[in-house]
Amino acid sequence: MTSLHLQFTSNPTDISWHKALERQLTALAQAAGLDALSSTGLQFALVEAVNNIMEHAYANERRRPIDVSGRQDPRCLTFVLRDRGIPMPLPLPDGSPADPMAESGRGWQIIRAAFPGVCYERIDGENVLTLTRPLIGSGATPGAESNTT
Amino acid sequence: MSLEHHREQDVDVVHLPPRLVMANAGEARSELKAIISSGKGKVVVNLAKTEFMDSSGLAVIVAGLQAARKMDGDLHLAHMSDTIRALFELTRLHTVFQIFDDEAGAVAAFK
Repeated sequence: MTSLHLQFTSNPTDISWHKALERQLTALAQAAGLDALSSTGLQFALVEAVNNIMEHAYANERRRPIDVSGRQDPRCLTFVLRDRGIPMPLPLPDGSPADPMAESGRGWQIIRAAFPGVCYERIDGENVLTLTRPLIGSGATPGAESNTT
Repeated sequence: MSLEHHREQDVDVVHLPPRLVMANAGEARSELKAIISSGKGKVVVNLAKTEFMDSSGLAVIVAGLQAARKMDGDLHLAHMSDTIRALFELTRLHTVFQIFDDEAGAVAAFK
């Protein structure tokens, strides 16, 4: 498999999308030559990004659309998350380590550890977050961050 | 949710679920804190069944640590999988917890 696509609606108490994400992501990561630990790292990060949509973009409101797609090309894995919630505040968190005793503030740390390339755009009322992971040996360099509103 | 829990002498041993994520973290946090407050503040969290955790799940464990330390106790972790350990190392939480290979070692460390 060289692509992934999930469409579901927001529901902070439902985790049925986790299994679908894991299944498709595992196949995509294996096809890209990633080991199991790296694949799980991507899963941790994508779950955080979807959690952010549910918790912040949709403020825990249910039945709002979420679209997650991913693809492999020779140089990198690219995932695009789309929602129609409120815009992300800018600048995006830089993923600096949280105070070890803090209860929050680790989501972006997890996202940025897995995805050196982060691009956020607001396009026609839609939040579009693009996460990029270069593949080892591809010669690709991590994508520079960009924000477009 | 009802976290699996038993007490060995004065140490509370709590098993976390296979997935500890945003959907169940609030309930798990309340139950863990209730268990801790009813005991002596000596807590072992057994992660043998836990396959996946997000930052909300990490927050549950940090809240448990804070609650235990407020009682002059501590919270030890046991049976952590490689993937959960990677998450702890990524977020540097491995620096604030004592992590044991098994439950018996984590309990014994309180004595």
